[in-house]
Amino acid sequence: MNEPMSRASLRPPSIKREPIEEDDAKLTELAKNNGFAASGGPSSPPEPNRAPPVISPQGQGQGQGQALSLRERRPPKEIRSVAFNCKMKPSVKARLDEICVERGISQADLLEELVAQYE
Amino acid sequence: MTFIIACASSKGGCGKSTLAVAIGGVYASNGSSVLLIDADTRRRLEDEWYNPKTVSSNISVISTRSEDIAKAVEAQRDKYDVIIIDVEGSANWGLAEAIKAADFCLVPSNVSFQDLRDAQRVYDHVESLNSESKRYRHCWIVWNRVPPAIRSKEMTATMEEAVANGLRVIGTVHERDAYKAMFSYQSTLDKLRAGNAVPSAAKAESEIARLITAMHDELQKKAA
Repeated sequence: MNEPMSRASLRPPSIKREPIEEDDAKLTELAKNNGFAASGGPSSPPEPNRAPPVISPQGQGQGQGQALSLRERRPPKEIRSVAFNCKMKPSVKARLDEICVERGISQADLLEELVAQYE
Repeated sequence: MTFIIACASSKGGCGKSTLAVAIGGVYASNGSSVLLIDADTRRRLEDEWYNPKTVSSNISVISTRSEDIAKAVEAQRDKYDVIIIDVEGSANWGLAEAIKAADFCLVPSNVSFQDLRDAQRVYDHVESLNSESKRYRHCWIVWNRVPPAIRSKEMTATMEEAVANGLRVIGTVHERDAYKAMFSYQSTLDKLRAGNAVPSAAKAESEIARLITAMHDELQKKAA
């Protein structure tokens, strides 16, 4: 099972690469617009260790203006499941999970109810 | 003709160099000649990993400045079966040039939302490059350093998020000592596997072989 695959399937494929006239300037501009090519390049001074953060005019650079919404797509913090940051008996953990499943609520909801009951 | 792979990510520490060495090693141990182009200013591949006494003679390494990646690829093209470009974890010129030169961009990403953001950025760039360029470049995410046993809810959510965002995932590389050992012993997975020197090397080699096969399959599908 752990043996590597056959040699034949691990030979690189033959890539046909016919000479293509690319518009290099256009592709470079595209990279810059996408927030790449922020440092270095033929006309730049020697490459620094890290590229400075860049926010392009289109808001596609690094940081707040980025067009991604991964964080925003996550559920709000208060309704995410809770990872109990404590040691507990496995039976207690199992019972908590059971209650959550039975009642269709999150661990956070259950904790909230317990706290309310305690108070 | 040479198959050119770019380990491309603007994120540092996501495993680009490790992936480059692992893939290069498996290709080399199966008889291919491999050139690793080290375009990281830290020169990890050339300074820390490559040792002609311990690494297969099928593998060569050169360091280049990020602004010279295209020239280096052009000069070495057709001398090797496979060229793997390793770049600095930064959204710099080198990353853009590596992507431009590659047939296949592998974007290693730890399974975290922060890493996924960076991966998505590279992925989106390759997509837009493909729409403007006359040549198609494959771009696939590789989940990296995934724990072999336990997968947290956060990790599962991140993986689902990638799919929801239309990112294509080609494979998973698990957290294994063998990957670290490649640098510790300046070696490749096949050598670490021999004599069971590093117990996880065989599994690591198998998963890299699967990754390579998956790349070949995608190339074939696109060509068909």
